[in-house]
Amino acid sequence: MIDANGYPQNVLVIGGGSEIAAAIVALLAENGLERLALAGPREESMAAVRDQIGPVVSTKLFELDLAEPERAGPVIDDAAAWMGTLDCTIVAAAILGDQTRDEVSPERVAVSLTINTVGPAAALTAVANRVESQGFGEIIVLSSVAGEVVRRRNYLYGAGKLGLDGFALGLAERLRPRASLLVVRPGFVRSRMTAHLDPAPLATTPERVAKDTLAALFAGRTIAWSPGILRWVMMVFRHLPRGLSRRIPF
Amino acid sequence: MTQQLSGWGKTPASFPAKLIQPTSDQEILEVLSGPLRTAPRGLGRSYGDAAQIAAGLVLDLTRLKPTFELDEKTGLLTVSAGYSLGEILERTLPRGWFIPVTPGTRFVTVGGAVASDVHGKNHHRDGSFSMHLSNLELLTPSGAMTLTSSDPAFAATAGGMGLTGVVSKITVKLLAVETSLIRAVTVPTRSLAETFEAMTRDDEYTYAVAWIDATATGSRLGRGLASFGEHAKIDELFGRTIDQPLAYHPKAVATIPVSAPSQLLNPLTVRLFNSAWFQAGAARCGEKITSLDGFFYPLDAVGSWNRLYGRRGFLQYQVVVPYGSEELIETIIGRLAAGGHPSFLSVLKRFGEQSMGLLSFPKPGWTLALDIPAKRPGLGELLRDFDRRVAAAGGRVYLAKDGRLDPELLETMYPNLRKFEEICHNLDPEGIMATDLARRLRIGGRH
Repeated sequence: MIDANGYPQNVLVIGGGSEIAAAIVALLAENGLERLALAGPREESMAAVRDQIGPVVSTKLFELDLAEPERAGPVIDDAAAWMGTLDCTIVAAAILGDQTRDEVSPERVAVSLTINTVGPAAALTAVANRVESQGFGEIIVLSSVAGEVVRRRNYLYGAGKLGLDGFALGLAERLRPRASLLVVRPGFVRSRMTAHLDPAPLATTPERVAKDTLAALFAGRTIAWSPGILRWVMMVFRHLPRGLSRRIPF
Repeated sequence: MTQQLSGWGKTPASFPAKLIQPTSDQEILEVLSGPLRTAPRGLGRSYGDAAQIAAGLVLDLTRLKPTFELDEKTGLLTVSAGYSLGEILERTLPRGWFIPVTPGTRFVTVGGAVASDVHGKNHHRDGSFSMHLSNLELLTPSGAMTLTSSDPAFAATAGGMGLTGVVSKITVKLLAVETSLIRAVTVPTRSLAETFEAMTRDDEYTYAVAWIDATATGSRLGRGLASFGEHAKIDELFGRTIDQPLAYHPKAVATIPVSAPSQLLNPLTVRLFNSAWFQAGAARCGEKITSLDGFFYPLDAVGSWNRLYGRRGFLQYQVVVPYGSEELIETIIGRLAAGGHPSFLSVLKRFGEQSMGLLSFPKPGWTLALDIPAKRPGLGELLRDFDRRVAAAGGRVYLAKDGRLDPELLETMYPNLRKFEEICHNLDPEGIMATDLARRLRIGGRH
C-alpha cells in the first residue's frame, strides 16, 4: 500500500540495475519500503543494487530482457504475485549504446528502439492494467531531455526516449485519476552509463534526480525535470529555428 | 467508474470496485457473505485509510437508520449505526440528554465512534465511547450477533477499526443535562511546563483540553490555552437563553470551496494564525457561558475545512505517551516546528483509564494531536523517528488518525494485537472484512 506521505511499501523496478532507480529506491528504503522486485537482464548489476539497499528491504531479482518485449507481461505478473500489490513501479530500462557505431546498423537500431521504447511500453501496459484493477498505484517513467529535442549526436537514444515519453504521457491520461504516472526528464546524469562521455552543461547526479523525482511525485505532477531549470532551457531550445539549434554544440 | 475515497486528510486515496449504501441489516449480511473484500465507512472523518478498500466493496453506512428509540426516563438510547452524533444531539438535547462521549466533530457516525472507540474532552473522567454502551449489534460474515461489554467480540469491535464486522445498532446511556450550554473557563499558559501544570488541574472539571501554539519556539514552546468546561446549570443562565435552555440549532458559517489554493496553509500563515489565536484567547480568558458547538465543535462551523490543505492533503499525528514521558511531547512539538512542519491545530490532554477495547487507543498518559500538511520533504522520516520513541516509551499512535505507521511497530503499541486477530479470524475466517489500513499494517496477515 501507499502511505499518507506517498511512500510505497512495494516497489518494482523495470531495469533493476539502473543507478537512478537505485537512488530513488534508497530514499524509499528510509521510508517504509518493505519489498523490492528488480527486473532486468544483468543479474550482477541488480545484485549490486540489492546489496546497496541492504537487508532492511526484502529484495527479489527477476530476469527480464526488454529486447524481448513480450516477456514483460509474465515477469510483471510474477513480481506482483510475490509482492501482493504493485504500489510503485519505476520503469528505468534503457541502453545508451554507441551512436556512431549503431547508427549505420539496421539491426542495432532495431534493438535500441526495442529496448528503449517498445519493451518499456509493453511493460508499462502490463503495469497499468494491474494498477487500474487494484485501485491505486504510482508509476515513474525515466525519460530524458534527449527525447525532448532529438539531436544529431545521440538521435538513436533520443528517438527511443521521445517515443517512450509520448507513450507514457498518453498513458498518464488514461490512468488519471486512478493512478499517478510521472515522466522524469533528467539532463546529463553522471553515472556508469555515461562514464565514457564528456558531461553536458547542467549535468546532474542520480541522487539529485531521485530527490527531484520524489518531490514531483508527491506534488502530484506529471512531468519532472532534473535539474528543474532544464524545463525552461528546453522550452527555449525547442523553439529555436533548426538552422540555429543544430549549430549549438551539445 | 466509482469515486476515489480517502479519509479526512485526503491521503492515502484509493478506488473501490464498488460502493453501496445499504439501508437494512439484511442487505449488509448478503454483502458480507462474500466474495468481495469489504470495508465499512461512515462519514469519512477518520484521517487516513481506515474506511476504504482499494478494488474492494465499500459499505457507506450513512443511510442505515431504521432504529431510533430514546427512553426518556433512563436516558438509554438504542440507535442505528448510520446516525451521526450531530443528528442524535438534535433529537435528544432538546429533551435534556447529551452524548456521554463526543470527539471534536459531530460529523461522525455511531458506527465510526464504536470502531474508533472515540474519546472526548472528558476522557480523564469518563473514558471512551465504548465504555458507555450497554450492548451493540454486530453483523459479521458468520452472522448477526448482539454483544455486551463482557464478550470478547465486543472488546475486539470497540476500537477495532471496522475489522470485526459492521456495527448496525448500539444502546448507549446518555447523560442528563439541564441546558445546551457550557460554562467554560480558559487559562492562557506561557510555556509547555505551564500547559502541563494547568492540565493537571483537569480533575476539577468534566471537560478539559489544551490548545497549543505549536509554532511557538524557544521559551514559548508549548504555550497555549487550557480550556475547561461543565454543562451549565439552569440557574447559571442569563438573558434570553433562560427561555429555551435546551435549544440546539447548529449551523455552518462557511464552506471552503473545492478550488481553495493549495498554498493557503504555509509555514507563515500557520504561524500567524496560531499567534493570533493565542493572543485572542489570552485576551478573552476567564469564565463564560458558551454554546455547545463553540466548545465541542468549533471546526464544524467551517464546512470541508480539510480542503485548506490543497491536493497533497494533510495528516493528523496523534499519540499518547505514559506519564513520565513528557519530554517526548516537547521533542515532537519542537522538532516539527524546527523542521518546517508547523501544525495548524494542536491539542494536548490527559487520558484516564483504558477501555476493554483490544485496539482502543486511549490509555493513561498525555495525548498530543497535530495537524500537519502531508507529503512534505523530511516529514516521513521525522514521524518515523517519533513513532519509534513513542513505542519505546510505551505509547501508541491513534489508528483512526493514521495513514503512515510502520507495521513493525503495531504490536509494540497495541500488545493485544494477536488476540484481536484471533477473534477477527473466528468471526471472519475468510478475511472478508478488510480496509486499506489493515492491508498497510498487515493486520491479520492482510496485504
